[in-house]
Amino acid sequence: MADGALADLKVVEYADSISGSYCGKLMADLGADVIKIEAPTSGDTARKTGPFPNDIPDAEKSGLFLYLNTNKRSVTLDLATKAGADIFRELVKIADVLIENTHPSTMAGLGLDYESLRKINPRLVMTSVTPFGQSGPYSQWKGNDLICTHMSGLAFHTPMGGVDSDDKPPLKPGSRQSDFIAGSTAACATMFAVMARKKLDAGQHVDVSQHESIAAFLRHQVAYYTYDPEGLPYYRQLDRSMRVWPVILQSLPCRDGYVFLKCTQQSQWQALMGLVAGDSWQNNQQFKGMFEGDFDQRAFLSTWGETIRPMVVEWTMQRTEAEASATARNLNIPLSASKYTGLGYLPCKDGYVVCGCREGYQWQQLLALVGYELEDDDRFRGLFDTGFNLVEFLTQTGPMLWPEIEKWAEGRTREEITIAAQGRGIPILPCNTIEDLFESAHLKDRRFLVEIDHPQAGSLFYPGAPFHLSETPCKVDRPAPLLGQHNREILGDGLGMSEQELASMEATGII
Amino acid sequence: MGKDKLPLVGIRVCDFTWAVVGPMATQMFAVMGAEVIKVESGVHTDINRRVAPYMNGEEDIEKAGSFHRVNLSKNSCTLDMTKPEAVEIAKKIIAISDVVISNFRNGVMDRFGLDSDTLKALNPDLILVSSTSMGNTGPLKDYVGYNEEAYAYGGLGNLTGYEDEPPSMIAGDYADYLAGTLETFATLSALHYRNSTGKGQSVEVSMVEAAACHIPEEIMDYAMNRQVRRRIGNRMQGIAPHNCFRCKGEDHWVAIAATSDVEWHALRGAIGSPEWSDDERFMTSKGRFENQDELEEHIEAWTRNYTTEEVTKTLQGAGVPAGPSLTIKELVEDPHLNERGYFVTPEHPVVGEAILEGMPWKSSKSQPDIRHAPMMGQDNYYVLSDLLDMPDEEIARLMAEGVVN
Repeated sequence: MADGALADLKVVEYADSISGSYCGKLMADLGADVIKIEAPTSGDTARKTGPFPNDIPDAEKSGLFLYLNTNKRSVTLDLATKAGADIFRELVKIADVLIENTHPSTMAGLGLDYESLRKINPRLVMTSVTPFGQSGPYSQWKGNDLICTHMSGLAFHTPMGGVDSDDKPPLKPGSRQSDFIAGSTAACATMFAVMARKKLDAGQHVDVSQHESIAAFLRHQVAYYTYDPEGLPYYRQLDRSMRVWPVILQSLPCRDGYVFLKCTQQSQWQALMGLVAGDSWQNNQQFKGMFEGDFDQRAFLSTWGETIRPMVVEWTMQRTEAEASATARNLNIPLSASKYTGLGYLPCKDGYVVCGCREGYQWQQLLALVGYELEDDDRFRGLFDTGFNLVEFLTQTGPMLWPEIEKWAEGRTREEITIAAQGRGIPILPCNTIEDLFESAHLKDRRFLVEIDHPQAGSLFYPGAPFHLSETPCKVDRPAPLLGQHNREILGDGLGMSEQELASMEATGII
Repeated sequence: MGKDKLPLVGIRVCDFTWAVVGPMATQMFAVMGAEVIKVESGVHTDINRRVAPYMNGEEDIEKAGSFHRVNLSKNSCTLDMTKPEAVEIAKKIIAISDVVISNFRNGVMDRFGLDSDTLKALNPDLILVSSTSMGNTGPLKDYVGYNEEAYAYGGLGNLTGYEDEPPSMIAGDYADYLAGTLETFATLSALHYRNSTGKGQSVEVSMVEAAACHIPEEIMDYAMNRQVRRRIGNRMQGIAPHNCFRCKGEDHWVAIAATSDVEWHALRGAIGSPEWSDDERFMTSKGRFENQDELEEHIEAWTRNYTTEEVTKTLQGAGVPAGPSLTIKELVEDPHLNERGYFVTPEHPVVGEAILEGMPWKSSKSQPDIRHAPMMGQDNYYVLSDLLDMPDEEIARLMAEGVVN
C-alpha cells in the first residue's frame, strides 16, 4: 500500500462500533497502516451487531464490522493488564495517530491518557471520539446515535416541514448517521492535527464530540434562531407554525385530515375573512382596523392571528379536504390538502421520487411538464419575469399546483418521471431502496459497490469509496481482519516478541 | 497557540464553491489557516446570500445568516466570469493557489475555460476538487439534484421516516454537510500526499455515494441476505427500547436507548422496578425487541409524568443513554455546548456580533481562527493588488468595466 495518500502514516485504533472505526477506515482505505486493537475473545462489538449471513451471528461475518475495518490489521490486547498496556505503549510509541472512542474516563484509568502517551511520543496525534466530548457537564453521560441526534436538534426538525399529527415524535434519519458523521469529522480533525505537526513540531489531543458533529449540520437553523427568531420556520407541529411563520406549512384540522393555508397577501386574507366570517365581516366592529395602513404580514398575524385562526378552524372542521380546497380555490385562497411546499417526496406508481425545484426556470419546466399552459394562465403572470422568489412563488401558487403535480406523478413510474424531468433540467430523482442501489446502472458504471473477498464471509459487494483521488484512489488491499489475525505479525515480527512470549500471553488472555 | 501555527497556513485555496457542500469544506480550510479566496459573482450571487434568515428579517446580501454559517474566515473577490478578462484574473489566482475547488454542475468550469487540463497546465501541482450530486462520470452524471435528491438516490431517504408511512425529509442541508465533510478529509489527504511527494491530483466527490457510504448496515444486509430494510422511525434493528418518548408539557420529548442487558436493568431500576418490567418477555434483548410496542407504552406511561430534564437526569444517573429532543432554541442555550465554547460570535461589519456554530472538535494546540464571513468583494483590492500585483489604475478600470463587480 506504499502508494496511498496516507501510506506514510501509522495509526493505532482502539475503537469500538462505528465512530472511531469509520475514522480509521477512511484513513486505512487511503493507505494508512491501521492497527486495530481489540479486546481478546470478544473483540469489537460491531462483530456482534451484524447483519449476518442468514441472520446467524458470527464474529467474523458481521456486515458492519466487515465494512468498517477494511485494510486494517487486528491485534488482541487486554489493556487492563500491565503487559497488555505495555505492548499498547510500544505500538503507540511508533505511531503517528491514535484513534480511540472510549468513555472519557477510560484511557486515564488505564494510564493511557494523552498526557501519559505524549511523554513516550511527543509527536503523537491522539483523537478521542465520544458522545459529548472530553469536557462539559454531559461529558460523563452515556450517549449513542439516537441520543446525540435528538440532542442536536436534527431530530426535532425532522421531518422537515413538520408532522401532521401531535402523536408523532421527533425523528432521527435512517441508519446510525451521527456515528458516521462523528467518524468523518474525526478524520478531518485528525488530518489537521497531523498536518500541524510540521509547524508545531508536536502532536496534540483532538477531542471530537459526536453530539457537536451532528449539531454542526444544523448551521442554517441555528443562524435562523440567532438572526431572525421570529421568522424561524422550523416549527415541528404544522398547526403551531401559523402563529409565527405566515408563509410555509400551516395546518388546519378538517373532517378527514388536515388542510394547509398559505396566505401572504392582503387580498387573500380578505377573501379568507369573507369565507369564514361572512360577507358583511367588514362591518363587524370586532375586525375594525384589520387592514388599515400598509399591509405587513407579520404585524398582521401577530395582531390578528389568534382571532382569525379559530374561525378558520371552525370552518375547516365542518368540511373534508376536498370540499375545503375546492371552495378556497374558487376564491383564490391558497389552501389545499397538500402539505408540500414544492420540495419533497412525490408518491408515484412504484414508489417515490423527490423533487427539489428551487429556481424559477425549474418550476416553469415542471409546470409545463405536467401540462400547464403557462403563457395563458393568469396565475403565473409575472411570477417568472424578474428575480424569481421561491417563497413568494410557493406561497402564491404552491398549494394549488402541488395536487396537480401529485396527480400527474401518480400514474407514472419513478423512471418515467425522472427521465422526463431531467430532460428538462428539473431536479427530480428516484427515492431508491437498497435494492435499487444495487441495480442502478449509474452506480454500476461508476463501480461504486466493490466486491471484496473475505476468508470467512466470502465474496460480497460493499459500499465503495465516498470520494475519488485520481492518483491515490481508495483501495481495498485486504478485507477486514479476523480477530487477532495479526498478533504474530505485529507483536512478533514488528515488536520482536518471541514465540514463547506470545504463547504465554495467549494462555493468560492478554492477547 | 498562534494563528501562524495553524495546519493550513501557507495554503491558498481558489474557491469557486457556492450553496453548501463546497463552502462547508472551504470553511474548514479557512478556519484552520488556509487563505481561501472565494470567487463570487456579483451577478449570479451565492444562493445563500439570497435566502433567509437575514439579520432581524432585513433582506440584504450582507445580512444573510445562511451565507455566514458556511463562509467564516474566507476572503471574497468578485469576478464576472462571463467576461474573458475575469477568467484571465481567475487563472492568475489559480496559478498561485494550491487547491482549486468547485461544486458546479458538470461542464460549468469547462464553459468558463477552466477545464482540468487548462488548470493543470497553469499549475501542475494543483489539487483540483469538485463535488456534484451524481459524480463526474456515469450515465446520469448530468442529472441535476441537490441535498434531498442526493440522499434519496443514495438510499438514505427511503430509510428515513415513520414505519408504514411515506419517507420523511431530513432537516436542513444534510447531504451537503455529509459530503462536504468527506470532501474535506479527501482534500486534506491529497494535500498531505503532496507535502511528501510534490504531486497534485484531482479529488472528486459524488454526494449520492457519500450518502450511501453512511448506510452500510442496510447495504450489507442486502449484499448478504437480499434483505431490503425499510424505515423504522427512531427504532433500531434488534434493539429495544430505542425510541423517543413524550414527556410532561406540550411537545416535549426524550430519547431513550437501552442497548444492552446492563442498560435495560439500569433503566428498570431507575424507574422503580415496576411490576410490568418483571415480565419474562422483557428479560432478553430478543424478547424486548419482539415486544417493543408494549414495552414502549409502559415506558411512555412513565416519561409522561416527568419533564425531559427529570427523565434525563434520572436515567443518565443510572447509566442509561437518554437525552431530550432539543429545539434549536434549546440547542443554542444548551449549557454543555456553551461551556465547551461550541458557538462562535465573529464580529461582522454589517450585522455585528452574531452567534453561529463553530467547529465540532477541540484541538489542544490548533484553535480554529474564526473570522466573519466576507462581504461581497471585500478583498478585491488585496487579491488584485497584493497578490496579483496589478497597478491601481488597472484595478479601477476592471471595476469600472464590471469585470470585477
